Amino acid sequence: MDAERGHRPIEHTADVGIAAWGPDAAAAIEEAAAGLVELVGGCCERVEGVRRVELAGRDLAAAAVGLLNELVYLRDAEGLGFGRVRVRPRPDGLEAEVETGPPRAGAAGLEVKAATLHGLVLEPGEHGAELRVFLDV
Amino acid sequence: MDLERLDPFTWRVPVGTVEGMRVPGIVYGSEAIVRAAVDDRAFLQVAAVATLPGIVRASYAMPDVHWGYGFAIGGVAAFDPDEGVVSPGGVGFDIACGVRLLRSDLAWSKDVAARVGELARSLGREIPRGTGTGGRLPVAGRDLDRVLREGVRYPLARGIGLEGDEERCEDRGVAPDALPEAVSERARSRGARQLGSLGSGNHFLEVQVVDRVLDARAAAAFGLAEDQVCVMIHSGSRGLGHQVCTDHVAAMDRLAPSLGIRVPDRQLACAPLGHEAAERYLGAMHAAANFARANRHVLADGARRAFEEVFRRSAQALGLTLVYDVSHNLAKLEEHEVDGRRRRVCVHRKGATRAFGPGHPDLPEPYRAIGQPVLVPGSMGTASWVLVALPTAADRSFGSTCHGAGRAMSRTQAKRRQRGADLARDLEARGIALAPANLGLLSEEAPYAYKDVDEVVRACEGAGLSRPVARLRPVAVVKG
Repeated sequence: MDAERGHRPIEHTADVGIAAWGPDAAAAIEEAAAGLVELVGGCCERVEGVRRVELAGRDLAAAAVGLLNELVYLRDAEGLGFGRVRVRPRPDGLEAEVETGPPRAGAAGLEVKAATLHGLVLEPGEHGAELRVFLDV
Repeated sequence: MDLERLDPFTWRVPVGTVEGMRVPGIVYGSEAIVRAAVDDRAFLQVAAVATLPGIVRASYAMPDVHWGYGFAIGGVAAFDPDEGVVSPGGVGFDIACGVRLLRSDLAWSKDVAARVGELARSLGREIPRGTGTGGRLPVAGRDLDRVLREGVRYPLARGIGLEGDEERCEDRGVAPDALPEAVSERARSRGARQLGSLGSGNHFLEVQVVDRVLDARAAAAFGLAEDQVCVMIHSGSRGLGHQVCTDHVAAMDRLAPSLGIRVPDRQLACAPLGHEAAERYLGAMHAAANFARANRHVLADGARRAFEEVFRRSAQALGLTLVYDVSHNLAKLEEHEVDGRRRRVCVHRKGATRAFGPGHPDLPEPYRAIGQPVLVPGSMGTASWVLVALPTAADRSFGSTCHGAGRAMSRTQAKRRQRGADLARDLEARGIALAPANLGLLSEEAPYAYKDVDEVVRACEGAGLSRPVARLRPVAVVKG
């Protein structure tokens, strides 16, 4: 974890996890979203719109899982690709702006069924905040 | 971690391994299987499930156990209807993922060997697969409601499938307690166009050959014989089921503080049986299970069409009939004997197959004297198995056994070891025709990423859960 913000996959016997970090919780969540988009091969060809979503949860970590599941849903139900994801924490969860567009041609990735609450951690880390989340594939 | 060995195939995870355990964990497996899995986190997950309220007797793990999320894959747990809970994480995201097996009157050596490439190409055209694909029978509105309520009876009513198919399905193809109104609009919009699609990951459709019969009486009852060609389909409830689980895990996680249930892993989020949240989940889960059963039914129709195209005879004339269709991710209210009396319990099977022994009233009449067929998909390129449930499974695992080989290696490790294109060449050199959707992802599902399925099957027999009937080897693989 030498960069100020970033993400990397976590090994799991059947599935896959993402460790994401940044100067604050919002940055770590944005990095987790970027990690998910990479795993599913979900970058967009070009940005054509922005989806604004509000996600409530028992805490910010659960709302972060909600955001990842929103991306999984938009990809599966609407066939969207993604650009940048910007996150702003709120007292009851978070709000996010998700850049969307047609998925990049020929991009291939894992079929992620969902982001899970298994082993979910959002805590202070070396660079400010760290999020660990596992995905069911 | 230390497990206590109770007999050659039974191991105990002692109470106290995880704080708050109400019952012990029981792991079934040979010494080789258990030693190989001990560094995995699966046994801690078995212990974590043992902390849930109302758990009856023990938290079980089948011989194909491995690290999952919340419950271990291969996990089985039963809960008291008055004091217990239901946990969507104990079923998993792919609700009613399962296996369907068709048998045929075709002989491999005489009828199919020379045409297997043609057959694989035809199956490749008929079977939608991979990420982002629509299915063979997209549905919406009232038609989707009917799928959620009627399971395989919906496609049958539209003339898809053969008469009698439903008789050889678990629950005759229809979960009776489905509550379509508990399935969210998001789940509907995610899954509606995917009915009749294979999906990705470890899902597959394979043409297989019966290469060994170990139990002639059961094989005859199931319609299986050596050199016979079969079709095995492994798929589930697609995006609809995934979203049902996502919706209800989130709802139960939010409810957790008010319910006062503390869990060692948030993916074990649960609600007391009888609570509105539990009842809505169970109703939505059964509806998703009906979707999964209809999905495999429509995929089987695609397989029948491919055989008809290649062999120029109808599916009936080819004898392409159903052996069985059974799920391995489900929670069901069942009657079991506990401490000498019959009780209703809610049995969660997460990567475990229901295994009801001879005489069980829920079995189709042709199988009632023999016991339930258990369909065990192997890893791509190795064997799959047909087993039969043993009477002792009722007492040892609430009537459950393994569901597959069980992963032994992460996806990253598997990809690092071999490129997909090289693996495809290796498989083809071994006489296995391939129709993959994505060569880049193929090696994630390589045979070496899984346990030895033959060893898992032996351990299930040793543990008194199921007995091998027939070994099937793949000759054509259609992968997502």
